[in-house]
Amino acid sequence: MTLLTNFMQNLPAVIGESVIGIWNRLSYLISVSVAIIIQSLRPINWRRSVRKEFIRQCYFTGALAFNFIAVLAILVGLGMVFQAIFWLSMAGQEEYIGTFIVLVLVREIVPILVALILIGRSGSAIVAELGTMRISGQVRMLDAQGIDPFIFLVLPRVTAMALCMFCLTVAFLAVALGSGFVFAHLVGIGKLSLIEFINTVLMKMGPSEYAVIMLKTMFPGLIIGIICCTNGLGVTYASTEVPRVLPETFTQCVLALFVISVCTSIVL
Amino acid sequence: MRPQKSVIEIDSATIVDDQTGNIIVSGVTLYLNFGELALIHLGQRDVCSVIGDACAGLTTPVAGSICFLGHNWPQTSPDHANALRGLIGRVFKTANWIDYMAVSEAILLSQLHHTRRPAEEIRDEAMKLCRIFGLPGLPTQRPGNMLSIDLQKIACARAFLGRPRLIILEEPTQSLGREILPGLTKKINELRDRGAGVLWMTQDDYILREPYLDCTYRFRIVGSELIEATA
Repeated sequence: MTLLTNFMQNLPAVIGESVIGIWNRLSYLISVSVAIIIQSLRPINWRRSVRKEFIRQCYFTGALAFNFIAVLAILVGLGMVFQAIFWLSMAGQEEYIGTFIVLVLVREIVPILVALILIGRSGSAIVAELGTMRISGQVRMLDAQGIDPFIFLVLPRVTAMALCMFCLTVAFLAVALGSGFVFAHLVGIGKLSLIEFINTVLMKMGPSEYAVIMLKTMFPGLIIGIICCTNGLGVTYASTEVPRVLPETFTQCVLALFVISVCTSIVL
Repeated sequence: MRPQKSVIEIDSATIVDDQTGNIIVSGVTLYLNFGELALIHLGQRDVCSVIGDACAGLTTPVAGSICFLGHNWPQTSPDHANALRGLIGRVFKTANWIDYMAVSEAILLSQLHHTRRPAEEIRDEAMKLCRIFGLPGLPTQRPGNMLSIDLQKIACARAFLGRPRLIILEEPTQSLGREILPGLTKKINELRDRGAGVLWMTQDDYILREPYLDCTYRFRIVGSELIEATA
């Protein structure tokens, strides 16, 4: 009975603390996002050292992930685009191929799939890298040389993540559509020519679809990059903190991704 | 406008270790002018990084002030403070190198960030400095694949790269031994001739007594006070 009373007495405090915690985290993320956007617009922050770091990040996040993204896109192309072409052709409703692809692949699945890959692949690498740098005194060394860690470490990683997420999503779509179309023709069920197929898809793409692709890739990329960088640089005491921070970061990134994705789908 | 005489002005400063909260030195006054060398013997206390951080404006003294080139660190904007730190060459007691970068890239980082000098020119200068400090050239390996003694030599080269106005040496002979002294004093004298100030911190009694080292000031930290020492 006493336990229950204690629990009931503490419940408002626990709820309040959680709400305050979430609010603090949200406001922190928003303020860092605004700072990143403002700082990225200042040409002085894009010195050659930062540009080099940005190119390095684009290479690690974008170029090195491309092979895996391409293999996955081929499998999705075979699994979904081919299926759509097959079943809609069987039903004599080829005109819905474009609608299906745009609604399912372009608007929903591909941006989320690419974001999940980048969270697991590059996001965790950023957390581990920055956490180790912080613990080993490399961040302090940068500070002592007059190199702002926010400009040199966070800005290129976040912007590269946003840019690569957009580019990889576009590449994923192109490969998935191409592989689905080629496979359908190899099996002999594709009735549309390549031009007609591309036309069918592009005709269903309105301004809102282009906006959705931009918002569902660049914005989550920005937020995921910020979450990974801030959590990595938040490691202060020991390298043993890194394995604890990694799953936390993954959870926060996935949550942020789905919240942004759902909100974008509702609005647009 | 007052003519600027000092590279660094430490005025009645009390420096505290921001991690432990311990007072390192209190009420210190030291004006280091252009071309001067101040040698500070730390006794048995491993506090060079804390003093170095305070001089570079990374920590704020709890009392008094520290000005670099006439700029009081806490009153300087973050961008300006970073630009000023780009004029400080510092040999850290423990050399920290960015893991994912080759040493040949990391050594150029500060100059690439703060100046518009051509990368080739900076690389050539870095190579010459590495040779002065006993390396065959500019190493291209990552820090993880190098000996710590070689990394410390490159850290010396990094500190003298470009045109620093202040050099902070955190016990360079502790890891490199006294063999580094000829190259180090040669570079220090060159820089002093060009007007830079040098703040050398050491725990080595030999350095404090070294008569050939042309020091402007010799100090000892006793307790939490900085007192003048004789050669």
